[in-house]
Amino acid sequence: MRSPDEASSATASTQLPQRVSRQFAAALLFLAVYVALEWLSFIHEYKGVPITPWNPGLGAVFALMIFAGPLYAVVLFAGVVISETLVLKTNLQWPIILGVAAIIAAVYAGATILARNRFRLDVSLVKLRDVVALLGAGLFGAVFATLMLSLMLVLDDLGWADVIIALVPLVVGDTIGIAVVTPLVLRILHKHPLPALSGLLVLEISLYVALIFGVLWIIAGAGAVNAVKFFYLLFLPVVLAALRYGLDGACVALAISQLGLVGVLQYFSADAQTFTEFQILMLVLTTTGLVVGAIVSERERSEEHAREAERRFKEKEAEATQASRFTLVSGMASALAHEINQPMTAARALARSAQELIRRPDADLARADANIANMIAQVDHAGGIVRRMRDFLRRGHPRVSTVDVPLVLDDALMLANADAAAKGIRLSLAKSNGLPPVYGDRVQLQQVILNLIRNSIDAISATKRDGAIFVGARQLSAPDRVEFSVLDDGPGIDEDTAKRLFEPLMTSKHEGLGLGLPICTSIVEAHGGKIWLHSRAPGATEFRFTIPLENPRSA
Amino acid sequence: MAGPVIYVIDDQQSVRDALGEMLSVFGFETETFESADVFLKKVDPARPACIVADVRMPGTDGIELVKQLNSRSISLPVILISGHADIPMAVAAIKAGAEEFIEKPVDDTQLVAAINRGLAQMHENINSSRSHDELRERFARLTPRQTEIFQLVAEGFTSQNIAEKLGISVRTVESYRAEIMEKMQAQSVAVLVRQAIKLGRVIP
Repeated sequence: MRSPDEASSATASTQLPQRVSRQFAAALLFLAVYVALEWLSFIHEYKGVPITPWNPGLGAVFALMIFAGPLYAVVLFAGVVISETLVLKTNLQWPIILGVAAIIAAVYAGATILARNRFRLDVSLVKLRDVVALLGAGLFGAVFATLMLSLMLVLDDLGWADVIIALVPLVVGDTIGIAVVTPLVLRILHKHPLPALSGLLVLEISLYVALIFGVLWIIAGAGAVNAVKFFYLLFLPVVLAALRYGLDGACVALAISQLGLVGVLQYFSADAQTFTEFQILMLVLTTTGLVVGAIVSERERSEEHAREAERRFKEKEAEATQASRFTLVSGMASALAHEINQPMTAARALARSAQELIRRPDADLARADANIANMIAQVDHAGGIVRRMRDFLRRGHPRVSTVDVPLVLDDALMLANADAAAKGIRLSLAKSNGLPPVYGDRVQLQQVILNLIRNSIDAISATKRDGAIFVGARQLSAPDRVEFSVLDDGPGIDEDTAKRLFEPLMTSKHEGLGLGLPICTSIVEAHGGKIWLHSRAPGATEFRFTIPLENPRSA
Repeated sequence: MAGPVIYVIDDQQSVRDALGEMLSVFGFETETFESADVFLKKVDPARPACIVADVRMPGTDGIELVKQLNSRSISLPVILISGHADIPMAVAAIKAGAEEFIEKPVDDTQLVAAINRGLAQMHENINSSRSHDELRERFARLTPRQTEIFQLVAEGFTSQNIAEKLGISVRTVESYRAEIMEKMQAQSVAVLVRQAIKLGRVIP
């Protein structure tokens, strides 16, 4: 059968029946669950009015309404009618049954609207406020429904006194049903399909179940009168589960506790009053468990967010390191081509000289030999440049080893030298022989020095043609460390820039990425050292950084 | 007088030594300098020479060197070599007046050809400037009347026209012309006209 709307829309006609049938299936399923739970629940009847000690069916259907919308109150209505007539076989008149069902359905529809629209409840219950809102709406529904029903029953022919007796357990039973079952069902709906359980988790759940039943056994053993005294023991497994697994753990532990408790009480044929006492305690336990669970979940989630944010930051930083290394390299590419061309130029000239000498009748072999020896040295020099370049470009994790400080300085200066020379800048290295080795990543340390030298080169060449950069290192004690220094006679750094110097994306250069110094900082700090602007004065701008000495105990 | 010398200027010792060695094996007399500034201090402008210089050097770079030589009227050919040659640099080098621009690593055939061309050019310049000086001397020896007639001949007037213009006989004009050609060492009127152009007396 098709409605006119469906017939007019060709696309909707294929999807809509499917959706409608799914909604219908969900409604039927929850109806069946409701009736089954009503049938399973222990029933007291007080002067013909059925009083359930707790109302898990209501909790389940309320979850559906919260999840999918207040219109599912229809399920509640049908559920109440069916259980009143078929399960409870009540003596009530039809108009009263229908009235009771209508009141319950209407009130919980109102509670659903309150939770969804007024409290803006997130159905996945990710925050503590969502759990509190759900409990609030449930309590509102329970109280309001009870009041309405009482009013109707008073109007019928029960006296006020009877109503009060029936009222408290009704409110408590409905509230506990909602508090225990609704969050559980919502979590199941949210997590659908449920993740597979690992063997370890099954074992842990079994332990909780054993613990809960152990406590229930103690309660049962204490006898109906003293049982209440031992109730607090149930807090142990519930709070433990909540602490371990957050809201989900609390929901499951509470459901098991509640089921077990109802079973124990039923076994002892406890009267309505005992039931209500226990249920009130259970309500306290439920609220505590849910709140603890929600707080734990919320904290775990924010920790997860923090971890995720940190991971992403690390990723970005690694990319930036790579990008800056690339920029550094592409900036040096032409200078390095020059650097490699130099030994090649020399080698070629020497080769031609040797060839020419050998071809002559009066070949000067000694001179040709000297040329060839010199040529080999030039080729080796070019090879060294290529090797260092490759080391520098190589991406990846820090490769920690003992690092020879003079060697690192030499390598860095060699890489920067061509660029500096091309810009008429003199690059000089204070003799650093006799320095002890530091422990770290050679290429990364080289990159820090290179970065600082490049900054100096840029600063000098931005203003005047010639300049000088002095690079050096010295050993300091307490704590044992090597202090590196890169000093230039450039224009200096103004106060504002100096303040924000180490912030990411801060740059004073036209083509700068603003990542150079933050990367230097992260490398130096990863090595357990410090980096700072020692002097921002024009003509003597100096950056310094320290790297701790290799610890002989850890080596 | 000493033969031509090749000055090799490069800030990197290995390169200037190797190029110097190669050119000396090839039979050139060579001298190496670590910078253009040192070279400019020591250069003897009178000595025939060819300069092979790197473009990028601390201090005075290769292109600046060419300009300095021009401003000092030292007309030595300069061959610039560079490890990172690009078109703007090559254009700048040639515009400044460099003889040739060669990329590193240097092809010796190309380098030697450029050196030879530069040296030949320099000799021609020396010769032509020498002949120019001589021409001026000869021209200076002409009398005012001879100078006047030299001018009219160079401008293309016939003896007839000149005689009419100056109010003298054609014969007198012809005898003046013979004296002028002898003094200027010109074999024909055509040579005389070319000399006038060289001296800037007429615009071709």
